[in-house]
Amino acid sequence: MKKQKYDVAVIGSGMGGLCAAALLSHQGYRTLVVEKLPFVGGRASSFNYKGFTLPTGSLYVEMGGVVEGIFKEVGADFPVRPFPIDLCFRIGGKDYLMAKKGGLRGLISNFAPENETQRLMAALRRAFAWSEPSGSISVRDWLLQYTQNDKVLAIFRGLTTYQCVNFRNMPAGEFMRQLKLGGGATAGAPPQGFLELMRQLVKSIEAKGGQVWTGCRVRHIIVEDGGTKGIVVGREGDQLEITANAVISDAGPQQTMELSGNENFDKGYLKELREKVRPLSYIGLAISSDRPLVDFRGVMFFPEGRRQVSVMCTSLVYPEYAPPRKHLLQAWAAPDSSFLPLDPAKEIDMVVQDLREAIPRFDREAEILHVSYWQKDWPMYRALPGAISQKTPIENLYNVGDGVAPLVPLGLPGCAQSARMVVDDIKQRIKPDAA
Amino acid sequence: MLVINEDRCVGCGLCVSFCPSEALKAWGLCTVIRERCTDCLVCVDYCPVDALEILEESTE
Repeated sequence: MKKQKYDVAVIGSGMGGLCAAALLSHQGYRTLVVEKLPFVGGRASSFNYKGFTLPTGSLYVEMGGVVEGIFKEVGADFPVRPFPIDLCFRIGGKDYLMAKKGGLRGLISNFAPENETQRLMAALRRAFAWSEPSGSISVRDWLLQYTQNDKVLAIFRGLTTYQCVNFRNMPAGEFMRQLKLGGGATAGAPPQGFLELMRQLVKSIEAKGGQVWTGCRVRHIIVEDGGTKGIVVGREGDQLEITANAVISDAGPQQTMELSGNENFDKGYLKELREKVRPLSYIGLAISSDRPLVDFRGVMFFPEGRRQVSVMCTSLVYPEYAPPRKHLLQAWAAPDSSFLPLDPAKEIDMVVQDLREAIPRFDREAEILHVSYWQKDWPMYRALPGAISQKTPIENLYNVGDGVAPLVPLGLPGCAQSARMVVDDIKQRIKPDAA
Repeated sequence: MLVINEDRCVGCGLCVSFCPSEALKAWGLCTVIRERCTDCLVCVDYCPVDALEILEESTE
């Protein structure tokens, strides 16, 4: 078998994999990224379909946070334009805009008497400022201790949709932490699509002599004496052995285990993997129309439907996403259960019925372009943050990505932060081989 | 012949977008429109969960 030598081999080119590779390349480590798909970015990428730019997963990225920090550090452009994070809740047929300041109290007081509003706000204040509620109950069950008001509960149902998790499944503690972390953050999206954003990291890796191979499959991770020695990949019909001092996998902890052989893993770790790394299901629709289906430049929630649906007319903010004279409405919905594989036919039926009722012009003007489900091995998130460590029981084999995200905002920040933590560990333990 | 492993398919719809013959549908899980499929295999490369496979047709 032919052999090549690198300091670090990275499996998968999602946000975690590319951030790790870019940081390492800039620290003098000779780095190779191997991506199975023909394009980079994983669930933080985009593609062109009938003239529209559609996401493979991520819709927005935090600005000024850990992701942008890594782009800056590695000299990559960050072509992201902020979008208005105005939130609007359609409840009882009326639209309620969430004010920038005191927004939650304002919303709640529309539906609840003053004493009930005060009781709930006091509990929320304690949850933020004093002690995070237990993660062993859902945010719904936590709220039911303070209010039974359907319309107040609908506000929170909307907010958990924004976090891409079902109201009944979101742990109360995680919900409060995300609300706290997300408040005040600026979000944006790349006008040319996420693929273009991720290509900036590829450029930065290549500028430092690193390589990114797309359409290239990893056959297995080489494990000897409890440590990894590299990977074997299939390339141009041949098998190629890549020897490396460390291997970083952005393929998800489950796939990492399968590629390494589960006989090499500690039983306790395998148990945690089964119990804690639970992929989340979600639904996304791309809908085309000649004029905007909602006249609101922000995220609109329809929290009283069969499913938790939210929409944004992204073409109002990013006209680049749609061909001339067309508009793009993106709709997202949390399925009946976030932690179970979903039944696509049943879920889409519910979501479309909700959209029809919420948008009166839907039947006449909307054309559903594309439907995406995220679940199982291609999930919305591989796990909620804090599930397991980035280090595997195999020496010098790490995971990055949303399966091993630390306690930071959901999604891309967790992927990027896991990459930074792994790179910091590698820098302390392994020196780059002299070029 | 292209076949879909329904246990693996998640319904992400990526194959639909990259099929040059518009031979795939994914309103629910992915399905092949046989009369349009040319077995070009582009979709196999674009499936993130390895749910698309080629079944060798028996010549017997």
